[in-house]
Amino acid sequence: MNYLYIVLGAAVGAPLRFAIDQYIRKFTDKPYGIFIVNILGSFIIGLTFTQDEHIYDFLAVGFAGAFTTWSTFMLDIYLGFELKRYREITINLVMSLGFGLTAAYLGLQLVG
Amino acid sequence: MKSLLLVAIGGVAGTLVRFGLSVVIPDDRTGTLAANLLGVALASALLVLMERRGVTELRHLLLPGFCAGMTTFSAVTVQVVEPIQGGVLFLIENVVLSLLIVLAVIPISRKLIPVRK
Repeated sequence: MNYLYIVLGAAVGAPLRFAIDQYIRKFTDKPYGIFIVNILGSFIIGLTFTQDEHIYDFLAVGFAGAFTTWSTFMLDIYLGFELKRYREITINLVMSLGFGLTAAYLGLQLVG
Repeated sequence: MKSLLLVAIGGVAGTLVRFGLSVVIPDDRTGTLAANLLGVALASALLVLMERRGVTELRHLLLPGFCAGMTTFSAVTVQVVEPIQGGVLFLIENVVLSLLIVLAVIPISRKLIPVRK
């Protein structure tokens, strides 16, 4: 039953993201928490992308899927745009995508 | 603690919707794109709604819970670098279409949902 693995992965991934983000937001108003989570999750999904079905469901679809977020990433960029923090949102976009793609690639290569 | 539980419940529900879309849509990249664009549209509207009408608990359930769980950054990055052609185009679609959706939905939602007096 792959639903069980997906549910378990998401039940860990989503609150772990929230806890990390809430903790980092105590020190800064910049979205570093989401940045860290998205890079880490990209590495983990790279490692598990070609693994057997249960590991894939639990770690790739469930855990990494819920741990990382696209909607918060996009909303942070929009809110930065409204506040005219153009330099900050450019850095966020370039660094998140650059490091995220590199992390996923490294993960894939390590197991491939 | 209560917030963590609400985020977990919302996150599981959102993840199951993302998984459901991947079952309905056979192409992996299109499934991810659909989950991300729908999630971004929903998150944009909910951001305004929660700002103006919401309570913290409901916001945690729906935004960092449901919408953040439904959308995913990691599937985008891994599907861009996997050795199948068209990765760069897929990345551009995710970024550009998501930003266009946020740019459209947030102002519309602000018009439709007045500030409570």
